[in-house]
Amino acid sequence: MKYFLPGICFIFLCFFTACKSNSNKRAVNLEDLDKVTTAEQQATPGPSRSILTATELIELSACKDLPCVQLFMKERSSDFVHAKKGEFASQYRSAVTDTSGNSLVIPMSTLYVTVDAGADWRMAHTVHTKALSDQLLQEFAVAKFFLTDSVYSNKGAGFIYHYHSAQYPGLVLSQTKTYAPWRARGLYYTVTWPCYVFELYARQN
Amino acid sequence: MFRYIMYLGILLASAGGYLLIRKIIDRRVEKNTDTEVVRENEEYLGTWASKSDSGFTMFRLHRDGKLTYRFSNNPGTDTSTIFGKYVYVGAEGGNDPKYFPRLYAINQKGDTLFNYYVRYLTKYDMTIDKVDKMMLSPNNVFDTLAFTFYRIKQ
Repeated sequence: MKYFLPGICFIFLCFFTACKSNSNKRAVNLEDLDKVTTAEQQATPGPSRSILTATELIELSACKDLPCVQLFMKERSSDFVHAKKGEFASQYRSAVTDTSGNSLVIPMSTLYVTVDAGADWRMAHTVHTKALSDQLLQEFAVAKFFLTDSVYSNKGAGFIYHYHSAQYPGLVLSQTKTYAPWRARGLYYTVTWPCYVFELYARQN
Repeated sequence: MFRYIMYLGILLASAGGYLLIRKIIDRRVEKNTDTEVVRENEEYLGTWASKSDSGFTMFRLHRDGKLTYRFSNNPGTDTSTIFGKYVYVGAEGGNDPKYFPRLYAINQKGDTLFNYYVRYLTKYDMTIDKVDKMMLSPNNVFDTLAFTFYRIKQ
């Protein structure tokens, strides 16, 4: 009997604990639902913004490779998620109306850089609403970026506007409204909403 | 040698007996109190509720596959109740995000009330979540819209 006693005690212990369900223990009262919802929202604060600022884009223009961009965006990971290699998307999502009138819930902006071997360096901040695009252009205007040129692209980009600033000599900002910000990549396989693309490069002399 | 086999047999019988008796007790408790006693791998069962600015939604997934769905839209005060059934398609793909489990809710006429991916469900042995959560999403696209429901005491 003395050999079986520990086993029997164990079984009884199991029976006593059997009535408790961990999941049921974690249930809340219906009256407390408001409190729980509010506490959860406060515990996981949302992103504070939708796009990068003009100052940040100017700083980013010094980057010439992906690790540099990753390091820069890592500090802003509360607002931007590194979804895939070379693809950053704003954590804040909202409804964007496409040309058919459909409402799409998508990130408000993205920052993509080229990662393909042999491809020319390209880094573009794509904004998905006109209001945010105007806001960013206004920020660049504060940094004294003025329109100096525009060219028409027959590759689906429409007019591309170039801006220069005396404060940042050598930097060229190009901005365009397009339905083809990146060719078949990430969010942009089938684009049905207008995208506003901002690219900032040091001029090659 | 025989002794060790006997110990093994006792251990297996103890575990089996424990699970069997636990199941019997659970079903009896469920019958008497009209609730779901949730165990491992059936965390989706029970009553779930969500409140937002637009309204209140609560649904109960019964063990026998029945569904009770209640909702009210703000600023109205009336609560509508719909009875029906639900189908929970499990996650055969493990942790692969392409294979989220799905939850279908169907009313008595056979119309679909909702058809969502279960993006997140608090596991039975989870110690981080203080409240059980179920996040339902219209699609399985990463980083998009999801509705959060909390387990309600029945």
